[in-house]
Amino acid sequence: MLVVTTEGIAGYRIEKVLGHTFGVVVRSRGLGGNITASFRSLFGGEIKEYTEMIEDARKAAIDRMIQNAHAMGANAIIMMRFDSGEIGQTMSEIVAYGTAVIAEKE
Amino acid sequence: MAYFLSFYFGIQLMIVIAAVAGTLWYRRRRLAQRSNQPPRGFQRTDEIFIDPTTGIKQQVWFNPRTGERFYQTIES
Repeated sequence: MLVVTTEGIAGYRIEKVLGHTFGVVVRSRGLGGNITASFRSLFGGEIKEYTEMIEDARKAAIDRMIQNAHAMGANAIIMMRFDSGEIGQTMSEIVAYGTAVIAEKE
Repeated sequence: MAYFLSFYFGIQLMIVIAAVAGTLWYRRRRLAQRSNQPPRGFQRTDEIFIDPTTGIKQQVWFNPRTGERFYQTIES
């Protein structure tokens, strides 16, 4: 499954546009991660616990977006974007979305 | 009073230690769960990224039948 952030794919012709596809995930750190992160924030620098949470969320969002596109019969996703938000004070939401297409090699 | 305070702060300390120990256990288990062999039916893609929390380089595999993805450790 080709996933690109551009409108077209070099060397490919877009045969059919199937519609939008997305993958969404909401994650939060556990109590231990929040305590460790709050200790780390006292000294500054990267908060690895939250980086790990967002990285896991990014992977899960992409995986779900690709599975949705696959279920639609697409073999590529163009114009892929990420969006993020917060729910409450401890939960993060990541959305990966794009346009599912059928692309043929030129 | 001193007995009550030491009991109170002792419980607090135990909760913090248990929470941090749980986090460390979770992270260790997460690293151990990284299987390095892609299951059958997966195809290698050109997608490679470095996990920002571990610094480990990962290769992405794709199953064209189910649409699933698999992350393979290729370098530590």
